Amino acid sequence: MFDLLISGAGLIASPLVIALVALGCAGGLLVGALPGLGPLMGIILLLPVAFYLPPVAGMGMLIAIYVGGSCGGAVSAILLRIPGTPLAAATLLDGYPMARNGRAGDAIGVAIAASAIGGMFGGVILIFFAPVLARVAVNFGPPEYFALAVTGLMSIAVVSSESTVKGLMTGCLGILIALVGTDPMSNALRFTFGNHNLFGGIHIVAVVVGLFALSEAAFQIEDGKLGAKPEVLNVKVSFSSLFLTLKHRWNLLRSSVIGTFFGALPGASGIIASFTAYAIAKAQAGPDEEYGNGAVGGVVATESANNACCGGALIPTLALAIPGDAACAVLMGALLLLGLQPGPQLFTLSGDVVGGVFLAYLLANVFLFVLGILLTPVFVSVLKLRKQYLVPTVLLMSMIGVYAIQSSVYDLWFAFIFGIVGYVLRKFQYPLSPIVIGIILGPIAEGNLRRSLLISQDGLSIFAERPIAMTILILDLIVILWAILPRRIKGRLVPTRAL
Amino acid sequence: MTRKKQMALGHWIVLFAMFGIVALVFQQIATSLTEQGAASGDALYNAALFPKWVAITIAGLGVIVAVQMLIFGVPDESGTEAPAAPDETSDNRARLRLQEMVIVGLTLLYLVMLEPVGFHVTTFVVIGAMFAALDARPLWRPLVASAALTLIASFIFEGLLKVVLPVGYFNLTPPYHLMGL
Repeated sequence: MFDLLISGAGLIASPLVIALVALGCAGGLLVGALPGLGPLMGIILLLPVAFYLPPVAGMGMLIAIYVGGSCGGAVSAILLRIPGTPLAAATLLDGYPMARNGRAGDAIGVAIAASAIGGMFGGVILIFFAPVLARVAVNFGPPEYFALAVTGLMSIAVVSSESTVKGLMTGCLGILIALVGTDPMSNALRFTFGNHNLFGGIHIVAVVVGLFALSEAAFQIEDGKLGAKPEVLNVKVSFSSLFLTLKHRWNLLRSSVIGTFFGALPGASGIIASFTAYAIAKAQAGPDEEYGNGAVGGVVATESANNACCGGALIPTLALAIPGDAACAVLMGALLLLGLQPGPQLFTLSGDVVGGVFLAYLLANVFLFVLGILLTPVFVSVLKLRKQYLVPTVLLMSMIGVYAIQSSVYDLWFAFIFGIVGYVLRKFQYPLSPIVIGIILGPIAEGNLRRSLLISQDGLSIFAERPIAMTILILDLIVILWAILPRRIKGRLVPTRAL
Repeated sequence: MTRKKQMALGHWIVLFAMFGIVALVFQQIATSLTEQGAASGDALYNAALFPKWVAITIAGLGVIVAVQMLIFGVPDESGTEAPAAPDETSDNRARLRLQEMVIVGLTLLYLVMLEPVGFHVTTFVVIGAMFAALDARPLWRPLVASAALTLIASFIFEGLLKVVLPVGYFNLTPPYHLMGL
């Protein structure tokens, strides 16, 4: 663990990396604060930029966006009662009443401080546990990797807020998208229809930007209020918020543990973590703390939990190549773009990069606190930005980002097509995140399945002969069957209150 | 047709599109992959093995969705849509829909114009038109915003990241080399 950090320190100790982490953090706070965007969108928009940077600089910037974006949503939740990201939905329960009571500055300050401390806690757990997990997983063979890839593929679909079955379908759709192009094992051309632009496959950035950024633009327009300028209070935030936050140290610690735990479970998002942390904090609160009416403890619990989630989510992402959430799936895509293979091999072959990423994550949380407090007036003024300017700006940045990857207009056409696909799928309640997971994990699953079959020479029996792979696959099957089961039957098996 | 019926029809069309994708996978396996000799054999050469399993899974899940829709009906409204805004009258909704179509059209125009006309002119014109289409007024504002955005995007991608953006007939390239970039 320490050897990773020491080797990573050499990579991160450069003005470029430090500046990019700071910029990423500020950018993340900005996209997080703007309702409708969020960390995923921030990472997607800057993915093409990362492609031109050294691995640690690129990953450091993207991870900083992830960290900043996970906190930024609290600003609009507190000031406008509109969570900038779903992660901040629980924050408004007490953050907004605090603002109405004239304590908007305190609420934002506490949210930032709690996020930074929760994020740091998640980072420490990440640094301790990810290498251990990778060391265990390095002994895995193709059958175990296939089983893990299947787990990753189904995890987000199963817990997606929309239909589980539809989530699994879009996950499979993502796999098919990833299979377009030249098969690396047989060199056969698959689903290219004779078009040479498809021989190398469809670039993940084109797919992700189209699915998320372009479709989001359409939804933002449909939502209306294009020229409305939100009325936002001018707030002053001070570093003394840290002391106010630390008064709730046990709440902070407990919520950070909850956040890291839920983050490390693939598919369980920061939303679950923040609401769980809030519920527990409320149950443990003293009689003088009025949760729901502006209790500082409520903001501490939700914000520390959802940022601790980031560190937790990076554990399976880096160590097992199972993304903790959709943003982590795109981060995994970024690693692949930068020529690195996520999973245990990353720790053995590119330990210095892993160490650099760990340190960049910790640094991002330091910047989150400092820049968050200093730049709050900027984020608050950005909330006044009208949608009529925001939507075309996002569209332009998305399109130029896609073009920049390969200087190819074809990628732009693919992004456009996937924009329409994303819009239609969202409209009819098909979740999009599983598509990203499918694109990333599909080739890993296929490669390991085919390698397993080659080793076996006896078909699928190899999975029955490998206890770890078999156990993982059986658990996957149970979870899938449970998820697909109609609610009515689940209700008979388990009392309704428990569901 | 009522909105509910339109949504129901939409759900079925999307589901049939999924089955269409499954059919396409099998069509490709039967034609292109078979012609390449990659639709059978051991796991090393059988490039059709995994896509076939994935397609079968999609088909199976599609059947479940179809059964769910037949038994329980289609979901009432899109779950991803925000609740109706207070000012969302049918006129307003039609106007928003029109604006949405204009933005899609302008995006298409951007893709068509980008290479022949070049990044700078295309971006200034199309993005300015997008601002205006989304009711940015007075008109000098979209023009200034579009010019500023074009320059910022150019500076980031051409100046800092050294991405070669299309120059088109006008052959416009800002002299970033004079700034030491």
